[in-house]
Amino acid sequence: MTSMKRNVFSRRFLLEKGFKLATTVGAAASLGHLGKISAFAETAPAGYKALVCVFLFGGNDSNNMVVPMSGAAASQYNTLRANLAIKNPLALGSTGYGLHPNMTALANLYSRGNVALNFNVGTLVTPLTRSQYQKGSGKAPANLFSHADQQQEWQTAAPLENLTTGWGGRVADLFPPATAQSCATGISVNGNSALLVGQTSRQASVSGDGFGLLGEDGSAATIARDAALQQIFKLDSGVTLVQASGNVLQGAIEMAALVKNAVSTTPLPATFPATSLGQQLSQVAQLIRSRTQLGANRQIFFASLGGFDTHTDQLNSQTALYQQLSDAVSAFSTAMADSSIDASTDVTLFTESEFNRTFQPNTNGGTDHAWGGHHLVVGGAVKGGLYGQFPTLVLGGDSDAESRGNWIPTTSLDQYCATLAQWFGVNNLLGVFPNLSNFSPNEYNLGFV
Amino acid sequence: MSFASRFHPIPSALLLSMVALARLATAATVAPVSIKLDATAATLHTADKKTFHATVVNTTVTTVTWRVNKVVGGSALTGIIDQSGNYTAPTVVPSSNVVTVDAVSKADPTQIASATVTLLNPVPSISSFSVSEVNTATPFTLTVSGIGFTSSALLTFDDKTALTITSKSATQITVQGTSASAAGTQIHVTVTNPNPGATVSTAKTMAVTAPIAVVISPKTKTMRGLTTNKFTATVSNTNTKTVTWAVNGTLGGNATLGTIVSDGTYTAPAIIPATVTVTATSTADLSKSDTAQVTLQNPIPAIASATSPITAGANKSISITGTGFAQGAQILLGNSSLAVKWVSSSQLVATGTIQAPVGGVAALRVQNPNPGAAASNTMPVTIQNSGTVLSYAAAKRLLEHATWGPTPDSIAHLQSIGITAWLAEQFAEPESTYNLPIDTTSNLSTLQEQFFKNAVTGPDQLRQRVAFALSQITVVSGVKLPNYYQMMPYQQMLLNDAFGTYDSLLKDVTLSPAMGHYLDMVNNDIPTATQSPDENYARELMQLFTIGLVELNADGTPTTTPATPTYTENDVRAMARVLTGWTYSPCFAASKWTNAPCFQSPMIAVEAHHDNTAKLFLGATIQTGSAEGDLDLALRTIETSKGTQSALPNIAPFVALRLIQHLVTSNPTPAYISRVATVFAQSGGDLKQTVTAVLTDQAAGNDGSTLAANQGHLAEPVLFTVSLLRALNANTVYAPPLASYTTNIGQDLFVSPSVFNYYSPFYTLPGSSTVAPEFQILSQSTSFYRANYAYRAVQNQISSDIVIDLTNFAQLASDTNTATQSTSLTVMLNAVSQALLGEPMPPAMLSAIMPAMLATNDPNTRARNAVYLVAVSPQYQVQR
Repeated sequence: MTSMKRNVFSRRFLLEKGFKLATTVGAAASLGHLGKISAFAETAPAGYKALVCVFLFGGNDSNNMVVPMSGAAASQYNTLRANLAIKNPLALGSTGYGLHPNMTALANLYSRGNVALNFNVGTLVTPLTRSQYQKGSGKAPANLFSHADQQQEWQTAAPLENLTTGWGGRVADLFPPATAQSCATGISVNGNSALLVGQTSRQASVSGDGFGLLGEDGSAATIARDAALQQIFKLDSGVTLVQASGNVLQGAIEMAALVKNAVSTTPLPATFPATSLGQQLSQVAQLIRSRTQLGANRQIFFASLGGFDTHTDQLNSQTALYQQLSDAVSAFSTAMADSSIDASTDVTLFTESEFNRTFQPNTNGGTDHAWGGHHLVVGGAVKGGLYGQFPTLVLGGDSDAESRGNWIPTTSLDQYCATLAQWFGVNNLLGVFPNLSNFSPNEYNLGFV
Repeated sequence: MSFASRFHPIPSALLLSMVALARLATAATVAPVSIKLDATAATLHTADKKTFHATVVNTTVTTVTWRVNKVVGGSALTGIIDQSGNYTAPTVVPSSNVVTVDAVSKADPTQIASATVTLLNPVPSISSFSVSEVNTATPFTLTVSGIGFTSSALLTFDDKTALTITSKSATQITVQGTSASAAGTQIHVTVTNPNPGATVSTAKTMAVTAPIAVVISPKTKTMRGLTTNKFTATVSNTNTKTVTWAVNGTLGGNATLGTIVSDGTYTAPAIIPATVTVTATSTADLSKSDTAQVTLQNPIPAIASATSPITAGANKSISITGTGFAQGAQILLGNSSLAVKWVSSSQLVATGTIQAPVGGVAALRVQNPNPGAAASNTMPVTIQNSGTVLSYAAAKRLLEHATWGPTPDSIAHLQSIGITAWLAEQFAEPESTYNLPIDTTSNLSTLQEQFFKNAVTGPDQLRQRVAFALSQITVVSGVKLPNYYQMMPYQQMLLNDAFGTYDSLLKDVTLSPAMGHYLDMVNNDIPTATQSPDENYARELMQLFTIGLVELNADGTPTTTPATPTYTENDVRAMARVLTGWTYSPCFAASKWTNAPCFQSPMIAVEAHHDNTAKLFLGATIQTGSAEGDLDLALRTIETSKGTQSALPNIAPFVALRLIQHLVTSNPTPAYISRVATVFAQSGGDLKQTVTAVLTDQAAGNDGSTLAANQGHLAEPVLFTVSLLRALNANTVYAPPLASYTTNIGQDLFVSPSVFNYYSPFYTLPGSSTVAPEFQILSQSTSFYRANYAYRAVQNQISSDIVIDLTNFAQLASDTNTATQSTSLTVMLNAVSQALLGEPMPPAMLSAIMPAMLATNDPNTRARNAVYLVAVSPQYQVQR
């Protein structure tokens, strides 16, 4: 283990922590490129496209999701992963890699060319070598091993934590709803997401049941009650949080009315598992099916699954988690391809997760926080295959930021997301991904979709 | 002049012979005068007329002197005759009914012709009756009109009715009698004159009809005191339709019985008699009447005014004026039980213990007992708390910060003792306890229920709030501790440590088996060639529980720009090694490495598995020779670590900010943080003093000063759900099952999504720099769940175990008179606002809500919608 110098972290973090985020006054002032975003709103797009983000909360140990099966990597894997090594991955053709054995359905999708595996993706300010990281001579993202911070950075594409909008929100800002009656561009099916926070756009959030006010009996008293509530929302209390709270419910009521009128509840042409992710993706499928009624031509969805913070008992946890992920995504893919929805090439699903985990296990049958990891992109428009650079599986080696296999990403989050955004129709890439300018323009598009 | 009157009478024979002789003497020369009447006898009725003619011969003087009974011209008694011979019989037959009418020749007064007139009583005739019919068996008075009635005339009914003559004249006879003939009989009535000339008049028929009948309508009537009812009396079989009215025999009634006037309108008195009988009596026949039975009910009481405002407390009196208060009337005033003194039907005095209701305005009603029990209108009575140390609004604010929400009782209590005394009470209050676990399989639901039961009803409110705040700093989660026996000791420990020092809390947290399991410190072992100690707890202990990521000034701002990190990955790894060698307490078997999971006692150290090499941690060398020694030193090092430019250890502003955010406001000013951090540091991390500083700082707004626009925080789901119940004084019998509600609203109790809690202390409103942690879990769907919880609350449908009673508000909303309802609804809305927002309803909100009130006449719907709208309003969702 190389000795760590104390000054590793004395380099300049553009950290605005504490109780204020000083540069996030919400105005264009600190946003650089972003200040010009409104001037570059996209022209009304043709056709329909949707991005579906599946965020794996906790830090997915993708070292066990995508497993090397041949060559030096395979033996390094089996040696170093020790008690946590996956013994029987599902081979992805002759690629030399395999998926976790509980991902049968995804392996099938891969074989049909609908899955792109992106190796070693993570937050980066600029490309970084181990030497630069260790010496502190390059910029690294802020608070690398903190859940909250990395989750934020993955959703805001702001490795120095200087943005409060999410990159999905910034994209949504560029593709506002077509009409006043159309639904919001960004929709979360699992609570508020940082991804979809926009400057001008407001994310909608739906949930399966109970989406609407109780007591709607059509009586005069209730109609008057609802009207009174609308009036209350219009009151200016002069209190910031009061106004903000009212805006959320008001938006909710509008969205509920839209969903109620537009979204069909007839069964979907696929059986979604009764798991959390299964139900969320079924919700997404329902909304996509009703995209015409919703007046949508561009949509970004946010779904998520927790439980990936496998400090202990990792093998068991991953069995269940990957089964759930694989089955849900597969059902979704089936639904999209069905003729009744016919959106297979219009919808691209991708994973995010705040970090990978230490290649070296801990003493508890689990792993700890690390950095670059492997991610899946699934859809009919995807150019299936392997993308990016697999890390060298040597502890403390050139791929390792630290000593336990914290892989320094070789694909930046910005590149990964910018590829998706371009497919979606975004032209003003630097407006959405200001940090992208630190990378080579001929790598703005990784080509997997 | 008759010869006979001048001279004494000469016998007629002699006269005749004298006359004959005279004639003879003169015979040779003249014939004698002689007189002759054309009638020598007549029979006349009274007042009849007859003209006599007298023929006088043998003289040229043919005039005569007419006389009746030798009285020239007659007399009233015997009849008058004029000198033309017109005789008028007297109107009354004289006692001697034969009179002589004679004519005396004036030529020779000795020559007299006479006629005998026999006078007879007139022939009576009846022309009319004063009444056309008589009622059978009913005394009548009958005046018969006609002519020719003599003074002894008799009136006869052919049905033998005995008649008493009460007055008589020639043209009228008035009799009284009672005919026994049946109705429908025709009586022949005759007048009979006696002799002389007794005659019976022609009969005139008189009908006999049924007796006079009086029928009252209605025959029975139920009516209330102070109301009127018009009875009608139909009188039949007579033309006299009038009746007299009486109440219980008293003509016209009286004040006690109720009065009745001539048109039959009865007015029932305020104090109802036991029984009332209304009688209508025919004026034509006083024996004919009818009665109606009146069943009286107490009046509907009406309150005109009542003492208001009134101070809550024991032995308070309310004077109530109005009308219709029956004896035995009760007073209903919210939950207060009052003794009633009945003064009069227009005044009551109620005395007793008066409790302030939810919202401070009680619906006062008077309830009359049976018969006809009825309640009065509602009069709002403002009930003020007796305490004056603190205003209502200030007390409510402090209780929002320091408890699970104000209740009417807690506000009253705080108002009377003030904040300092209240805090002392709270610090002395014994802690709520959870039941001990009974097995290793029960899940968290009963733990959640106990939590909510304690929150809604437990007396140690401040301790619970602080413990909950601590649970969101030193987080463990049911995601990994899904069983009761795992989680319960940890939550009890937080309650226990809430008023201790932060240091002892950290020690307890670090060695708690729950935390050991959650963040993987338990069984953490000395590093090997291939494995390193688990870093999870080491990292989160610093990042999330104590010093955070960056060095801070006392006021919470970063010391430098860019900020300076507080620790490095080296420190994390070093701390991971400090935290080696701890395993579960040996609860079930002899102690070894490792022991089976046991959550009821702190973890124990097994030195052989503790890394006792020198560990360089935050600039200190940790190598005390024991696991616990190392731990204590490491904790001390964390607690004293501070940036070179900081005035205070980092832990002080770190903890200060979080306690302020959880209790008071999301966006404290740097000065506020600094003051609280200073207290924390100077008191050695004493939570009692620190919490006191948080709650009593001027920035908390207890002095009523105007708050900054960004002051306040969105009530997190657990706080919102419990607060609403407490504000509405909900009754909870067993344990309120609120967990499913708070989960939907974004907070699954004891099951934080991660060690980062449900929301981040740094979360800002989208597109803004305003810090609003609780908004991180406010999405469109959770906002619906908040509104729908409020809906269920007002419908009293949260759970069968929770009872929310909005009756008082409904009563205050019961006025549907379009002239007055807006005014009374304003009172109700102000009371709702007082309960939930701590002040009368802002005028703009009032205007927004009033139409919803007026859209229905149902008081329950009005009350529910009023409470719903305020509870759902962002003004209630955000506490300030």
